[in-house]
Amino acid sequence: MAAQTGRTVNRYTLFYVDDSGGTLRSIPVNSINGVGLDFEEKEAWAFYDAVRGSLLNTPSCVITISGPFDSTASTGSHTVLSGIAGLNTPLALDIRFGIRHTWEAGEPTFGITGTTANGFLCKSYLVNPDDATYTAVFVVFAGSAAPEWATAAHT
Amino acid sequence: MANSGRTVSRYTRLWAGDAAAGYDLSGDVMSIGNLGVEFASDELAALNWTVKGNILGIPTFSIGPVNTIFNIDPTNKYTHDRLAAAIGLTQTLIAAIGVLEAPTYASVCYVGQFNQKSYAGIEGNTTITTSTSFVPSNPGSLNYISPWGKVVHPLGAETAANTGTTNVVDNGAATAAGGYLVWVLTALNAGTATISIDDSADGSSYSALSGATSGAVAAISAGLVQLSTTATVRRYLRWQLALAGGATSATFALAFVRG
Repeated sequence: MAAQTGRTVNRYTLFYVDDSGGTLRSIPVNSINGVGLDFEEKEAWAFYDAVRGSLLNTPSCVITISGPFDSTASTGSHTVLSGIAGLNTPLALDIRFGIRHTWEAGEPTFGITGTTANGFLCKSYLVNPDDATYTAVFVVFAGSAAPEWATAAHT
Repeated sequence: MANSGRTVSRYTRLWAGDAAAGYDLSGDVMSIGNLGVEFASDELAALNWTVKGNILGIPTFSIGPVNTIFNIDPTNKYTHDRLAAAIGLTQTLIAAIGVLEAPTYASVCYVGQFNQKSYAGIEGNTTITTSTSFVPSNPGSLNYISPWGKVVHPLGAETAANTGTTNVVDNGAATAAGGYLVWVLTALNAGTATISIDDSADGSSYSALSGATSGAVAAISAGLVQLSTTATVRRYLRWQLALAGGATSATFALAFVRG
């Protein structure tokens, strides 16, 4: 089926991140926040300006995910996240938005292809055993290129 | 071998102790709170960077608050007696997460040593419950950045040394980054018990993992022992026990975190 356009629902969204061996894995998630760049706002107005204004400075990107605790070999959320939390090795990360069907090339993605200089880091990983869920936070590696919106997979 | 996949809270267990006590809290714990590891970082940006970036620093491990049912017995030392006595002390904890079964060999677990900050009773409509808080630990003396490991021996009694090759932890491959073991001894009928770990390359022939031992322990207690960060740990791990001085039974839990 060809890439589709228009609106969609979250059941066609997939979250991918490198595991500790550099293999891109799709892990179970049920919440993703912070998908995009958030530009720092700097006020730049003067007394005699007709209206206050701002300029945009360097953006940041902090992605928070949560989902079920899962110890499945290779692709479980715990299996992947416990192995990458705290590593200072840039990780590929990709969020793929299927448009009313399983994602395919031509449909939106947000992320970055991992290299030795570009990628995300897993800053924190918390498990709540009381409801068997996890939360993980990803930040951009220092000096990395910016993650981007695209219509091709990031690897 | 442990199940893998998703689970629910009723298969979680919490074992705890210190130099003077070892106990199973699972019969009174209602909730454990978040089991966390968070790495310090500053968001930075040089002039020509297209996005702010980070380098991760020292981690903080955290657990709790642990909420329990109020349960007291000064003679037999139930949950209240244990937690009230542990206020202000460093506790060794193993939170074992079973997947659709009670934690077993190779189950995922979260381990660490935390200072118990508080223990307070809460009077509800009918039942009295308690809340115990632990100070997030910056593990200054710990040479490892992960609190996640595997259960090598779920809490239970053993009466002899281990000669088996089935109840083991298979890592898939050996590692050369050391690790650390955490143990909780909740019962010992006499003498001493030495809790340790054997490793193996093939799952059949085991020998002692150098340094991975509690040493001879003469009473219920808990502890953490680190290996060198470059120690080779072979693929398969199994628990080991040495009873001496008239001891015939020891009840313990054992976990290992690979580096």
